[in-house]
Amino acid sequence: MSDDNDIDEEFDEDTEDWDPIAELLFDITEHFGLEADIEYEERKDHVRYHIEGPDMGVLIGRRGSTLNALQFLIGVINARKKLVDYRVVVDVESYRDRREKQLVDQAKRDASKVAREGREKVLAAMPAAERRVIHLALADRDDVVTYSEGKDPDRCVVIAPADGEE
Amino acid sequence: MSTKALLEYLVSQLVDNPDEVEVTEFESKKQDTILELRVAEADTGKVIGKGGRIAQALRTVVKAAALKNGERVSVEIV
Repeated sequence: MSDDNDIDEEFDEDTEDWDPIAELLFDITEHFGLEADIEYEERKDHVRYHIEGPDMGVLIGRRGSTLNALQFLIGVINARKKLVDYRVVVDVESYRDRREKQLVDQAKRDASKVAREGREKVLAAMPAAERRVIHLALADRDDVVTYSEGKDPDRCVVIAPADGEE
Repeated sequence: MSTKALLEYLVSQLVDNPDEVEVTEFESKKQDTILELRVAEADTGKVIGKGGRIAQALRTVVKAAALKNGERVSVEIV
């Protein structure tokens, strides 16, 4: 019994901080010449990797373009090498958290206006991950429905009044 | 810390034959750097992706790194 425990402890020590996705991200930031601190956090339906440190703006890019490209590549590498079996979300300096809050707040305001005026609203084009945030944020409302239309990169969310009422 | 090394690293993670990844760096007339990427024939699709999405993402990330190093870079897949 005590032997088993010893082995477990050693194993834990060796693997505690090691994570294949964190290692990928660390190698990439190193190639950028950045000194990054990488932490991961379990969320409801994904694991979120936080990259923090000085001068991280370069990893975000214009409206998150670099961050989205990076996350896409990490997703492809993960799928090909089967590194981890959960959905990976990459964030830099909490950019996504801030952006998601902004998207949700705006979507709720838009939804109320759509329900009030009975007219659908087409939102600005955004990448799949951001559209997903809006669909989820409004999923539990019964006064509006959401869907996407158009082709990437011009695909956008439409918020429409729910039918069949009154 | 070079842009070339970043491209080599990313591509070698994406392909089945990382030993056959080759990036050649040369200057174009307009003072920017061209990174010419070669991979094993069987891996070509793996660096381009459906609708060129992987190639596009590689370019976006590599250009960001180049910008930080004060370079202008274009990536060509041959």
